[in-house]
Order: sequence, then structure tokens, then C-alpha cells
Amino acid sequence: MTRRGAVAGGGFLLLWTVASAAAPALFPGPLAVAGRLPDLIAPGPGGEVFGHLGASLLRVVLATAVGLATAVPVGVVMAVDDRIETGVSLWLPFFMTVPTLVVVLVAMVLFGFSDLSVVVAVVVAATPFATVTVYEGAADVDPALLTMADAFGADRRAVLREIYLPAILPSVFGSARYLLSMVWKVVVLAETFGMNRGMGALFRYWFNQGDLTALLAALSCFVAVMVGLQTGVSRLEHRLFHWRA
Amino acid sequence: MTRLRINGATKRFEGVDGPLTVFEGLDLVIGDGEFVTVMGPSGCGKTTLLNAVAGVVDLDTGTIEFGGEPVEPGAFPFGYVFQEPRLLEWRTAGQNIAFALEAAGVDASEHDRRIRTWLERVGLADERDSYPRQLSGGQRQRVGLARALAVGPELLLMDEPFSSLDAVTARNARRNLLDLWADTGASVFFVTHDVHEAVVLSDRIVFMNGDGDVFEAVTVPHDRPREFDDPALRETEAELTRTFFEELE
Repeated sequence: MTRRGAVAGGGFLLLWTVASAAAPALFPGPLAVAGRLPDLIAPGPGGEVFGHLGASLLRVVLATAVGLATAVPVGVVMAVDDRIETGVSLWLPFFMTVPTLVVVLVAMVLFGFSDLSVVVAVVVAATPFATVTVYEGAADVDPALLTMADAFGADRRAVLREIYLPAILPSVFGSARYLLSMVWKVVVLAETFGMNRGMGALFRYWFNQGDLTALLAALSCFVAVMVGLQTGVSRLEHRLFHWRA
Repeated sequence: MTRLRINGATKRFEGVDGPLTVFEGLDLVIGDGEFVTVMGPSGCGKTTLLNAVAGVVDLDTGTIEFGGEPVEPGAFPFGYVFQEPRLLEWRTAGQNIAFALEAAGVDASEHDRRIRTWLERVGLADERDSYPRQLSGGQRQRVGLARALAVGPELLLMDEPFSSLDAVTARNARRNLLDLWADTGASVFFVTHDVHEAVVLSDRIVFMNGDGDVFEAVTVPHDRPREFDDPALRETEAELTRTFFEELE
């Protein structure tokens, strides 16, 4: 998010301005949207954006953590044991093809309009993809390195820590970034359906008011936070994988 | 004195068309401080034999003695230099050596001194904090050699360690190896398919054919230190090349 980020952001704002100048009635411009930010911050219905953001973020982080905590062990075990790989692979396409909307609806029916249903929906919808990514990373572990470790007498813990973990770490980060980007969509979808708090609820409120400008203002806040989160993950990734340079 | 003795080693793999014998009833002896090279064409089972000695591959039959005592494969102080460096790319040169030291159960208080000593001995004193990707192919292979020597081996297993290096780098690496070998007193079990390399390095050369049988063993009749371009060495090389290729044809 340095110069390249600034250029990308500037380009986006420019496009937005041009688009809104072409069709001002349909598409409010960045300035008009920014002008609605005070309404979002103010207390009362349609406001309290920070509270809603916090609620959504908490769900996103929680669901991503649960998703990763499921995907990493399952992916690694699949890479280590062929039988488990065969068993799990049988089910993956099923979970990967069920539409996310259906997953959210079913979770809402089963668990009501609660945080639990959001997390369950996200785990079911996004984890299979993350599992496959981790599995591919773990299956890529160089057998020559395992022989080397064996020859020098390394124990299982050292092999996991020094060979498996660094080998899967890039795919774990790939999964984390993927999960983050997927999870927030599912979270917002679930919130829009039936939660009182969260950015989805705020979007629903302004949608019902027919106020596109305020809706876009709320969306901007949310996107800014998510981009920040993604940037944080990318930075951490860059720091951890400096040996690749 | 005998350092390593392999008695009646047999190894079979399950092939597509039934079991595949790599070698059968193979005997090999390496003396204290002796440099023995096993020469053979690709796929004759040289690497499998090294891996069996290291305990990485199980033998179907056969026993191993170390220092006159029967031992489990790999249950003695040895270092292994592989055909490729096999370094952990996410660890520095120094940390790669530390990994082997820890695996080999060397006391942590010893690590720093050994890492420093052996990186210096292979000419990489300044590269302790470099990552493998920042090193050249020859340097990476030298880190692999330092790692194998740092664990304090009485036997050094070497699997065509210089085959992927260019001629000049390989030549320097061989010279470096001979110096280190002379200082450590370790025995060396070296594997190659390069006759010149076998002649300049070894005390004894054992020839294997494509079926994994030993068909010839010769003592290299040249004093040390050896001049790599000595015409007498070249003559021995030519003679052994003939022996080798006549058997393989």
C-alpha cells in the first residue's frame, strides 16, 4: 500500500468521479458520498457505523480463524495420508458447489439469527477452498528434505516445525487472504438477511430508505477497513517470506 | 582397523512387473580414515546403498558393523552430503547447520563454535547469515559439506556431491574436500559415476555394474597429495575407464 496503492486508489476515485459526472442521478460521486459520513457516525438508526463495523469485523475474524483452524489440520492430514485424502476429496466438490446463499439460509434456519449461524455458514462455504489450498501446499513438501532430516536423525517435532510448517505457510497465508475476502461477503450477506448489528444490517437500513448515497458511504467505510486488513496480512507475509527474495 | 563393514546386503523394491532387485548379497569394507568410492552407472543402486547405511532405507537382508560392532543402520556418527544441497531455503546457512546439530543431539552450547569453525573451513565464514537463494550452487554445496562435517562424523557419506557443479568449481570443491578429510580422519564412502573424480579422490575404488553387482575393486596406486593433472593419474583413469566400460557394454 505504498505508491502503487496510492496510484490504484487515485485511479479508482477518478473513475468514480467520471462515472458519477456522466450519470449524476443514478450514481452519486465521491464527494456526495463523503458528505454522508457524519450521518453514519451519528447515533440512532442508520448511524453508529463503528459499532456495526466492529460487529462485522469480529465475525469476519472469528470465522476466518475457525476456517483456518479447520483447513490447516485437514489439509495437512490429507497430504500425509492418502486414505484420508481420498475420503475428504469425495466430499469437497459437494461443499464447493452448494451456492453460498443456500448455505446462509440453511444456517439461519438451523441456528437462528445469531453469530453462530454466521460462523457456521462461513465455515461450510469457505473452508473447503482453503483446505484444498493448504493440502496442495503440504503435498508439495520436498521428499528430499525429509530424507535429509531423517539421515541427520531429526525427530518428528523438528520435521514438522522446520520442514512442514515453512512449506505450508505460504499456502496458509494464501488461504487466510482468500478466507478474509470470501468471509466478509458471507458475513455481510448473513447480516443483511437478519441481523440487527453489523454492516449488513446498516446496508439493509439504507437500502430500505432508498438512500444510495448513504449506502455507498457505509460500503466505503467497510471496504477501507477490509483493504487495510488485507494489507496487514500481505505485509506480514512479506516479512515472513523474506528468504524468497 | 575396519570402520564400516556391510555384509550380504540385499535390497528389493516392488516394481510394476514384480520385485526388482537393486543389489543382492553385497559386501563392502571401509577402513579407518579410508576414502572409498563406489563407481557405477546411473540407477545401479549406489544411492540406495548409501541410504541403507544411513538407515534411511531398510535393507531386506544384510548386516552392518561399525568399528567392529554390529549396529543398526545409521546408528553411528556419520554425516551425509547429498547430490543436491538439500538445504532448508527458509533458514540461513548457519541455521541449516544448527538444524543438523540439533537433530544429531549435539549440545546447544557447542552449536555456535561448530557453525563458525566449519563455515570457515569450507570458505564461507562471511555467509553465515545468508539464505540459500543468495548463494551460488557451489556455495550451497559447501554449506551441505559443512553441515555434514559439523556433526562430528566418523564416516562421511557422499552421493555424487559435485556432479551438478561446473568443472572449475567441482575441482576446487574436491581439493577442499581432500584437505578437510586429511584433517578430520573421517572415513569417506563416496559415490560417483565420474572416473576422473574417483581416481583423484580415492584410496580404493569399487566398481558396480548395472545389475548392482560388484565386479572389480582396485587400490589407487598413487601417493598423496596428488596433482589432479599428473599424467600418471590420467593413465590410471584411462585404464579404469576401459575396465568400466568393457564391463558395461
